[in-house]
Amino acid sequence: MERLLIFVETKGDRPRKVSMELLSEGQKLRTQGYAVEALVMGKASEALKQEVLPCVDRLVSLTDAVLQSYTAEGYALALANHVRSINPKLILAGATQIGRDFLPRVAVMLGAGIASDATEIRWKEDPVKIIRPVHGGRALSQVSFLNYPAIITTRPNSFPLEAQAGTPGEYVEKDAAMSVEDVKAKVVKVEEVTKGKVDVTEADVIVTGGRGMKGPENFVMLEELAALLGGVVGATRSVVDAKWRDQQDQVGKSGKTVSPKLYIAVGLSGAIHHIMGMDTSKVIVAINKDEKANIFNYADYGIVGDLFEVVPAMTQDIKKRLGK
Amino acid sequence: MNIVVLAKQVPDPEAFVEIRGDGTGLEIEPKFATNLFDEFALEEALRIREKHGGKVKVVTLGGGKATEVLRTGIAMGADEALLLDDPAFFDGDGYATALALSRAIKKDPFDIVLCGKQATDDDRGEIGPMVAQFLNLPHVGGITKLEIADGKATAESPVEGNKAVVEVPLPAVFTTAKGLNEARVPLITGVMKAMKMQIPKATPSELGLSQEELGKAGSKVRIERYLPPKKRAGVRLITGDAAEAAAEAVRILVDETRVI
Amino acid sequence: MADEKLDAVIVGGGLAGLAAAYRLAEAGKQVLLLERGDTPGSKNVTGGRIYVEPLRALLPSIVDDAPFERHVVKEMITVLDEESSVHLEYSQDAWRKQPHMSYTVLRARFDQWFSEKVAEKGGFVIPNRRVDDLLWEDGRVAGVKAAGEEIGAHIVIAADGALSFVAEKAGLREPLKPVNYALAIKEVHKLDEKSIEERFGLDAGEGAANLFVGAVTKGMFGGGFLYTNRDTLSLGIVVGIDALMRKRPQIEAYRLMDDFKARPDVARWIRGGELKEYAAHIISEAGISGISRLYTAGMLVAGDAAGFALNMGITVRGMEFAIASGVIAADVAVEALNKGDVSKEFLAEYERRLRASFVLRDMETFRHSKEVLENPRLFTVYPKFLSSLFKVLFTVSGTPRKGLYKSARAVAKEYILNWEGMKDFWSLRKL
Ligand SMILES: Cc1cc2nc3c(=O)[nH]c(=O)nc-3n(C[C@H](O)[C@H](O)[C@H](O)COP(=O)(O)OP(=O)(O)OC[C@H]3O[C@@H](n4cnc5c(N)ncnc54)[C@H](O)[C@@H]3O)c2cc1C
Ligand SMILES: Cc1cc2nc3c(=O)[nH]c(=O)nc-3n(C[C@H](O)[C@H](O)[C@H](O)COP(=O)(O)OP(=O)(O)OC[C@H]3O[C@@H](n4cnc5c(N)ncnc54)[C@H](O)[C@@H]3O)c2cc1C
Ligand SMILES: Nc1ncnc2c1ncn2[C@@H]1O[C@H](COP(=O)(O)O)[C@@H](O)[C@H]1O
Repeated sequence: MERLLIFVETKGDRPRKVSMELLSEGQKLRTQGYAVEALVMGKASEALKQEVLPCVDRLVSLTDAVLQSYTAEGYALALANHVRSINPKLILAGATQIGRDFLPRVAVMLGAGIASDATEIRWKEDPVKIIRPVHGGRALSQVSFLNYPAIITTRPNSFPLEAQAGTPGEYVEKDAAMSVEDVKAKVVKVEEVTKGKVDVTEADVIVTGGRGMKGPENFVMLEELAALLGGVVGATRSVVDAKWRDQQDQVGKSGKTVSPKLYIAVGLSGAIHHIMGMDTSKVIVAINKDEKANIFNYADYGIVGDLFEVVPAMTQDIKKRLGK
Repeated sequence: MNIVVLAKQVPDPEAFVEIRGDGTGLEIEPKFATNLFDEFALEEALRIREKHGGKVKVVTLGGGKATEVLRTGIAMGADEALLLDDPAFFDGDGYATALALSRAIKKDPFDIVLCGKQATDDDRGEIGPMVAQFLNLPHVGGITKLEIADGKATAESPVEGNKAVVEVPLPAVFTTAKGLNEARVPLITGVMKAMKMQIPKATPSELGLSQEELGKAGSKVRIERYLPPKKRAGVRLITGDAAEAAAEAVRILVDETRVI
Repeated sequence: MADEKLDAVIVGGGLAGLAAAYRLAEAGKQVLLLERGDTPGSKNVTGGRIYVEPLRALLPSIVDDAPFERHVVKEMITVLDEESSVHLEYSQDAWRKQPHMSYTVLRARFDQWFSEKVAEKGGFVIPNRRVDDLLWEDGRVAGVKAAGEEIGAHIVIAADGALSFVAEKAGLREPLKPVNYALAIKEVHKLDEKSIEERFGLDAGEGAANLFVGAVTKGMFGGGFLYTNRDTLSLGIVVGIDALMRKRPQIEAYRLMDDFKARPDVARWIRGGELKEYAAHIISEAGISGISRLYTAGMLVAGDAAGFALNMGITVRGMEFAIASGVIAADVAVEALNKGDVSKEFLAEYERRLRASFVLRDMETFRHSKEVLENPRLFTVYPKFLSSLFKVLFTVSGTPRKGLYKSARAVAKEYILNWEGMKDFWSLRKL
């Protein structure tokens, strides 16, 4: 019976979306001869237990003062010790800023291979094949591990969310028995910068505005459209450099990489540096007045027109269709 | 204050990348540059030296024109450079590369290691945390601010939309993110000094590394082949004036692709 | 660095600058070349076709291993009028054998290689640096300023091309006047080697040059060119800026290029090719009267910056002048450095040697070329005469034909056997 361990990252008291994607993957594997376990740092909330237990055979929560706030050393040591105790074949975690920060340390501790930012895992093949984008997504590399255990971090929004109720697993709380000396880093404070705003890397729908928006005030229409679709507003570097939008929202090579269900590109030309950050989006709609704009080479659907007419029209139509 | 900067040579962001017919490798246009995030690492190192004194050493593992990364570093003001260009080092995964680099760092005493969050060719983002683990040191990933004071460092890094402020004792490792600083343009006099400089090298044996620990042999992950990114079918341009096109677009998104 | 000076700083990484840097480095001098482009050659545009004979003596190793494109074995001239064209082809067996007389050249490839040669000799070539100003010391040029950084040097060589303002800054030249310059537009089309050789009737490695005159420039002074490179074709037009500005009705320069490319005589060469690059650049065409003052204390001016270019409309010569003047400037600089005397008096030697070399001698012989070649009739009347002549000779229609001589005479009378024709013919003697 091969064993799989899924690291659950939390946001507030609930699992992050990418962790749910992995749990949904794990649930499918429970029916194909894998024993699936999950691990969460700190005491699991009731809400978390309700969402995680149906997908796994066992959920372990490591309770230790050192793990209260995230440090790379603390999380890495705790996870590595847990892996040594249950000896899983594969460890899965989201390729979030936290995931990508501490999992490589775990790989060194265990002498294990790690495939970062994977967008596809072919479980049935032996050895397991992992697909991950390289060169800003201009090519995909197919990798496999020389031995196990091994680690895979997965790019958010790359795996489907198919919640099926499975027989709920057991919940165990364990003390990680870590001493303060194990962690040299000290978290001074964590400031809420974006009040509950979903990060572009996690949003299902992104409406990105480029220089075509002409000014910061015009982004209101994109905020309205995005809110309507439960999405967020992205930015190109030009609008970030012009101080119209925040660096956190910048999509692209020197910004963030996103692959939402729907990416609406408004008034942006689609320079290669921007495309690199969003071309794995499922559906791309581009609105640009210049039919030769490069974005049209990467979009599924394109409207050649003035965004100041098209966007408000789209917002009205959506309101009508969704009865909002 | 001895500061070590890890800098990698990567293809220029605009270089043409194609997959070789049989998928076994990539054909990349030979236009190179220093990895964008590593320039921030070097700039931060120089600023720390300007404030606290000490020496900045740039380390690069790579062959061919990789020395250009080191010469750029010297031209920007770094004091020393170290090249690991023995072919045995090449084609290693994150583990093997980080092991070699950590040994190179340990050659001389150091207080701070600065490297990029990610190299834009392999997009792994692994070497920084791995080097920290090999050296048994704390690290802070993706920093956008760094203050050094009496043996300790305070770093800011965005974590899932929040801003974490972390304090670590030195020595420690930091990986840089955009927004930390803007790299300076090397002075002409610096470039000339760099062009004349002899670049010291380190061989695997000097780093106490056996063949099994190096490159492909020392790797835990094997790259089997390369695949083209999922090609998108051509764009379907929605015709009509603004109102008609908008309505049709919404119809497609709701009824056809069902993404809203 | 300001106090200990470099031996020489060269402004501009084109042919003149690289030749001067190579020569100075070869003589063991500490030389720094600053080029504003990303790489030497990235900002340079040429047709282009270089005649190597005059350079073989000056830079033997460079000429022998230079990565030129193809050696030219076939000269073609096409005289166009609105709807017809006359095509002349000339080739010579001697051109097929070593040492070849002329080669086609792509500056991105050649200049990059040349800059590596300079570095091999110990010269410093630094791209991405734009020289903004000169440094002065008691009335003498003593270095340059680039983005606020001061680089002291005993001697500066201005090789910053046709738009050079460094020569202007040193008071050696007045600001540019449109009448002295031509606009050149150029495209590079990719076509595989085999197709080029088949299409132009060439053996492997051989090249052809096709020059176009007449309706190409709609009566304005200038012409068109097409050169075969290894696996690309260079295609372009040259037209006087002043003529372009005075032309009525006004015509956009790119429209000239589009019409030129659409002509069957041009389209036939580039059919199936893929447009890879387009560029524009200016060419100095004032000839010898447009040459700047060539030296002052601490500074020499070489290449296009000095105005060393001969625009004959259908062909432009500048590369040999750039390389030669770069080498001669370097030689004089080495002597000045060895003597420790960079005074104006000593550097006058530069102009003396240029006068003795083909550079100024050729420019002297073609002193009137612009004046003669500017005659609009050359681009309208004479092409029409040629095409009418051939039309008459080759047309066989229903009506009984006049004798060949008679018909030719009639055409000649209509177009050239008149006072204007005589004047034009008489003016040709100045060429
Ligand atoms: C090393 C490097 C890294 C970079 N990283 C990034 C990155 O991470 N992210 C990023 O975005 N860029 C990045 N860039 C910059 C990138 O190259 C482009 O410059 C930038 O993306 C262009 O922004 P834009 O499309 O908003 O502006 P523009 O290119 O100016 O596009 C504006 C578009 O709006 C259209 N438009 C204007 N008015 C209207 C209207 N009324 N209606 C409809 N359409 C209209 C125009 O037709 C045009 O296509 C990077 C560049 C470099 C060199
Ligand atoms: C379309 C076209 C076709 C031609 N065809 C032919 C031909 O067939 N045969 C022929 O012999 N000649 C030809 N010529 C002319 C020939 O290209 C030029 O005469 C020759 O390139 C002059 O060389 P140069 O080094 O003086 O100037 P350039 O080659 O122009 O080099 C000047 C260099 O200085 C740099 N520079 C400028 N200002 C600064 C600054 N402030 N700081 C630093 N660097 C600076 C520029 O970037 C450039 O790299 C042609 C020209 C054109 C435009
Ligand atoms: N071959 C290398 N030589 C020097 N530094 C490297 C090398 N590879 C990676 N690094 C450093 O590690 C950082 C992250 O790289 P990666 O983990 O490969 O994405 C880079 O930004 C560099 O600072």
